[in-house]
Amino acid sequence: MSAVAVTFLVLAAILAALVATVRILRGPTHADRIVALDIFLAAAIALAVAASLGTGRTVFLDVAIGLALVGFVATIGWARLLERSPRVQPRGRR
Amino acid sequence: MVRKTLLALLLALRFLRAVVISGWQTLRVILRSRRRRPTMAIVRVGFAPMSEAGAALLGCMVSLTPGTTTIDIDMARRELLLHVLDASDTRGLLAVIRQDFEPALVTLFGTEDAA
Amino acid sequence: MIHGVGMVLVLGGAVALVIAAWGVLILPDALSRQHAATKAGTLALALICLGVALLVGEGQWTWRLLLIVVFLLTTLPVAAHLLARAAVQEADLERLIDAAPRIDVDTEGRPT
Repeated sequence: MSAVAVTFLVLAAILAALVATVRILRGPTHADRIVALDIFLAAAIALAVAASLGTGRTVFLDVAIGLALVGFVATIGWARLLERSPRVQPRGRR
Repeated sequence: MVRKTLLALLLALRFLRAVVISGWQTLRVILRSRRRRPTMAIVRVGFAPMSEAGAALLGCMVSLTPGTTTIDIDMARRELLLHVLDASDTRGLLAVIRQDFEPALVTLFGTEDAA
Repeated sequence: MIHGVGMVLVLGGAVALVIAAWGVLILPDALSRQHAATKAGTLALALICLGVALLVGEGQWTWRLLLIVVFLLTTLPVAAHLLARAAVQEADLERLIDAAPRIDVDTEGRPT
C-alpha cells in the first residue's frame, strides 16, 4: 500500500523537478528562475516525505521540516537580492 | 476579549479554506491555459481604515484568495496593489475579500480616526 | 477506510505537484507563474503531508507533518508577495502599475 504511495511521490517529484529545470534554463528573467526554485523546493520536501514513508523512519520528516524553513529563507534572500541589483535586459526566449 | 479571540479563530479557519480554494482554482487555470490564455490584470483596491499590522495581515490573506497576489500596500492612499491571475471575474474576487476578511480585520485592527 | 483517504490525498498531492510545475512552465509571465508555484505548490505539499499522516497514523509522524504544513502555510503569502515584487521590479511593469485602475466594490460585488 505505502509502496504505491512512495513510487507515486518519487515519480511526481522527479517529473516536477525536470519541468522546473526547463524553466530555470529558459528564464527569461531571474524572477522566473526563483519561481522554478520554489517548485524544486516543493519537490525536495515531497521526496523527503517519501523517503520517510519508504524507510519508516521519522528522521527524514525532520529533514523536510528543515527544508521548509530554509527554502523560505532562500526565497526571501533571492527576492531581496533581485530588488537591489541593477537592471539587466532579459535575454532568451519565453 | 473573548469575542476578539473568536474572531481571530474564525479568520484562521477562513484562511485555511481560502488556501484550499485558491490552490484548486490555480490548478484549474493552469489546466485550462492551454486552450484559453488567462488574461492577467493589475488593479488597485481601497481598504477600510486599519492599523499597519492589520493591513499587512489583509495583504497576506489577499494573497490567498483565489487568483490574487498582493504586490504592494499603499498606506497613505489606503490602497492594495493586486495582481489578478484570471481577470474574467475580478469583481467577484474582490467581493470575497470584502466579505470574508475585511470586517473581522477591521474589528481586530481598525482605527477610528479616518472614516 | 482511513488508509484509503490518505492514499487518495497523497496521490492527489502528487498530481497537483506535477500540475504546479507544469504551470510554471506554460503560464505566460513571471507574475502568473508565481501563482502556480506558491499556491498550487503549497496545496500539493499540504495534501501530501496530510495524506501521509493519515496513512501512517502515529503521533510521532502526525505532529511533524502538521508542523511542515503550518510552516508552509505561514510562509506562503510572504514568499508570494516578495516574488511578485521582484518580478515587477525586473519586468518593467511600472507602466502597467501606474495605469492600474482602482476598482471599488461592495460585499455583493457591485461597483460603488
